[in-house]
Amino acid sequence: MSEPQATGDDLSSLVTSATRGDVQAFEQLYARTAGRVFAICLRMTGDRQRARELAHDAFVRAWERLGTFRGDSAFETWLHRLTVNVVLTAARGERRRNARLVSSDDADDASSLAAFGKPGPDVATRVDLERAIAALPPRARQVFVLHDVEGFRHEEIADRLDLRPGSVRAQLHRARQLIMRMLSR
Amino acid sequence: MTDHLSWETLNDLVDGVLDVNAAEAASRHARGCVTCGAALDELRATVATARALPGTVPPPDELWGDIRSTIEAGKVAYLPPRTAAPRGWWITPGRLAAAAVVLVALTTTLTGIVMSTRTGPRNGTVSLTTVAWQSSERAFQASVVELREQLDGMQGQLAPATVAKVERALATIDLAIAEAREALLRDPANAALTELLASNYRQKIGLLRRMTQLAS
Ligand SMILES: [Zn+2]
Repeated sequence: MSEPQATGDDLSSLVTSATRGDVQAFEQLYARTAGRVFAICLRMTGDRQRARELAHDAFVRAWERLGTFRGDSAFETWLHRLTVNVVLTAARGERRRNARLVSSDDADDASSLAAFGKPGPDVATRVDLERAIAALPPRARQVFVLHDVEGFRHEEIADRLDLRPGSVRAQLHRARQLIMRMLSR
Repeated sequence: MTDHLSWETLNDLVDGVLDVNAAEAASRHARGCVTCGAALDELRATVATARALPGTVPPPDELWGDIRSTIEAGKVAYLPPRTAAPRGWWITPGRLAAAAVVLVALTTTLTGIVMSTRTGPRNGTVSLTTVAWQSSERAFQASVVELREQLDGMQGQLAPATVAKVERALATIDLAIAEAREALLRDPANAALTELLASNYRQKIGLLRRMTQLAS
């Protein structure tokens, strides 16, 4: 699906209307940004249903917070950050709940790798990479997506995930190793 | 022959976080070592593929409908769990500010038209206590219903454009009310939230009252 192209001015007038409660204007903003938001949610969770819930939450939150959008950054940038926050906040809640059942992130390596199944003969194709990302343990997946797909810096990821920079680096290296192992099977 | 490059060094080389000397030494080794050279190429290719993944993925068709329903129901879908009250309703100021903008604009217009501006509950004696906000809320809601009925009975006496503006302002206030209620349900003893909810209701009643005056 290709999303309608919009200039910054178009978006800015839509944001202004939506801030005043215009749901139709917000629908147009949605149409122009939903693919981006859903891509982040899907890759960060590796789960389509969960991604749908989080994308829903991200847009509802964006609607609620439109009044705080100052226009000093692009609307897409603002929405992107908001989406990442929604996903990470939800993930923190899930980690706390899961902590009672699983003692560490490493415990799900085996099941994640098993769930990945047998990839096709081609390595490093996009489809295979998407599947490999989805099969990563949650923490490694978050770090990999934020760094290698979304282009965040180590320090920023450390800040967002409440990790030491050294841990971010270790998770990133681990994620890449797991992905390459999956892709070369 | 020196040891092969570690996985960490290969990654740091790809990420450009090694210092100049270390990067030069690692690159030199990779150029002369088939094993490390291949590992480095494979790692670079993986990172490049990740960077090149499409930035968008089509969302499910029903997603917008769900979002729209939530928005129109005035629900607060996202109040992070386990956060203290001030963070729980931090979304409110923006929404309130939006409501205030609409209200100011409307009030300016309406004061010009309404010659007698009787005071609404804004200056009245209604106050909410932290323990009894729900019963006080029922009193507010009763006033809202009564004014609503009056206003509905006066349909046709107001310009459609004015009615549309007022409905939008009311919708905005309703959102603020829903947020404050939601936050209060989580933190019932919070006096600031109680006052916020009361003030939202006062705004709503004040607006409805002005409209009934304008229509009569
Ligand atoms: Zn070597």
